[in-house]
Parts: sequence; structure tokens; C-alpha cells
Amino acid sequence: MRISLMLIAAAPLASCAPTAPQIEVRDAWARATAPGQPSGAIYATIVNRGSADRLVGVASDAGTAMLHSSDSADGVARMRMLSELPVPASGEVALAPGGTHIMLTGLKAPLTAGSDIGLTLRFAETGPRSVRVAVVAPGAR
Amino acid sequence: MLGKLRFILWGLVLVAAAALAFLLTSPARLPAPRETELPLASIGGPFTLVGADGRTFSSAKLAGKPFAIFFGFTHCPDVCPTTLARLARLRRQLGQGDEAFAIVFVSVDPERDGPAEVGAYAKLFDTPVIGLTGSVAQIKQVKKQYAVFSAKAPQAGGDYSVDHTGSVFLIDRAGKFVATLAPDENDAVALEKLKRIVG
Repeated sequence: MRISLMLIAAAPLASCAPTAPQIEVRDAWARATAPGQPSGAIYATIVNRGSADRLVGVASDAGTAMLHSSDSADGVARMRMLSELPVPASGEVALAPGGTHIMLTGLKAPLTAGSDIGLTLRFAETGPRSVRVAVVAPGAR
Repeated sequence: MLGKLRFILWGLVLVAAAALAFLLTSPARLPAPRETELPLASIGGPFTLVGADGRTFSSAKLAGKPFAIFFGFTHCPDVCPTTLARLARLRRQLGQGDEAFAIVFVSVDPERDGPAEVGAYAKLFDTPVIGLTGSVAQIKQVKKQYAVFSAKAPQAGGDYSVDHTGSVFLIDRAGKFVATLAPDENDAVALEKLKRIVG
């Protein structure tokens, strides 16, 4: 009897505060690269409808993938590796040109417009999420 | 007693004045001059580099033509293609064709970027882009003329990235520096600036 009362009391709490992240990776894209160019970048939007999570790893079949940030503080463009990226509860994180992105190095072949490549994002709570990345003409967006 | 107090107070005033004088004249208070800073009027000027065909490229080839010049490197996957794609898009939006102004890309990483590399990179954008590199000395010289900063930044696995000035320099028909385009300013402002070199 006592246990069932406690369950009834806890039920409303569980329904308003999400207890797990709900991650969706949208609109993953990359610019085509030149023959011989060893590196490229992948952009995407991470949408989370649940509790906070962290992006802790990235992998691609096209080359070695790393999470990077670009910034242009005081007029100088700098690119640095990030070990992880927080994904806030009920929020979005944009991986976009000139900001945080996934860098590909050691490309096995040039990225060609119209093709697609594989990408797996590994989240601390959610685990791996795999998506296809659309390769577009470099001037397209 | 009163005379002694007055003497002490005047002493304190003198100490305070001396401290103030020291603070105002101390060299530490002056901003350190940056090596790359140049008077705006002197930005640009004639340069000699190497084109995508491996031959000498003289800035005389650009005489009488406005151009937008950007310094980057071909291993750069994000900022450099983003900037060149933006210049290509702005030139389309201007609606005066590819001849309205030239887009010039100069490598600040001549050790890795030869003529073939800058040529292939410049070809990516479906619109004419002039890709240039040069000897280490030539690149150093043109960077100095444009007050461009660049420095290698080591990366995991022994590789390196290059930190570099992210602005685009706009040069008018007379070869005069007019304005810079910053990566974060909006397209309307950028188009107004481009009209100033094209017009």
C-alpha cells in the first residue's frame, strides 16, 4: 500500500522532466573537395527534445573525423580540436561554417558533389547515431 | 603641532603627485605596437607570386581591375572555402558578371601548397578564382604588404593548421585599398563595400 502511494506521487514528476535525451541529427552536409585536398568539413544540426547530453566522438567512412571549432576573434581565423560538445536539454546545436564543425582529414577520395558519405556521432548518454552526409558543390551554401 | 601636521600632509601630496606622474609616463601603459599594423593607405601594392600554372604571376595582370584578395591555405576545410564560396555568391548577387571584380586566393602555407594545390582549390567554386602561391620569401613579402598575420598551429598526429587573418581585402581599379570584408558582417554591408570598388 505504501509503495503504490509513492509511485502515484512520483508519476507526475516523471512526466514533466525528461529523464533521457532525445537526439536527432538533421541536415548533415559537406562541401565537395578538390583532388588531392586532404581535408574537408561536415556540418549538421543536432536537435535534442530530452535531457542534456554530450557529443563525445565522431567517425566517418570518408576519412579521420575530429570535432573542431573555428573562431575569428580579433580578425584571426583559428581552428582548434574539441574533446566534446555539450548538447543542452530541449535545445539545438548547429555545426555550421565558420564555427564548430566536424573536420575530416586523410580523405580516402575527394568528396564529390551529389554523392554522400557516412557519419556516426557518439553521444555520452544516447550512444551512437549514424546519418548520411550530402556532399554539395562548394559554392552551393 | 598644527605646523607639523601641515608638513606631513604636504609630504603626502608630493608622494601622490610623483606616483601619478610615474603611472602616466610609464612605458607599460602605452599599447604595444603590433608588428603587422600598417597605415591603411599603404596596404597592398605590386606583388610577384606564382600562379596555378607554375609561372610567375605579377600583380600587373590585375592592373585596371578591382579585386578581392584573401589569404588562406588549401588544408583549411572550413573558414577558407566558406570565405571563397561567399565571395563567389556575392559576385553573383552583384549581377555584373565574373568580370566585375577578380577573386584572388593567396596561400599562407607555401610549404604544402604548390601551384597544383592552389589551382585545384581555386577551381572548386564554379566561378573564376585566381589561386596563387610562391616561395616562402614571396609569401612573407605579400603578407607584409597586406598586414596579414599567419602562424602554424600544431594539430594531433603531427599535422598542423594555420591561424591566419580572416578578412578579405578589397582593392579598387586604381590598385588602392578601399575596405576589408569581415567574416561575420552581413551580405548587405558586404555588397555596399563591393560596389565601392566596382563602381
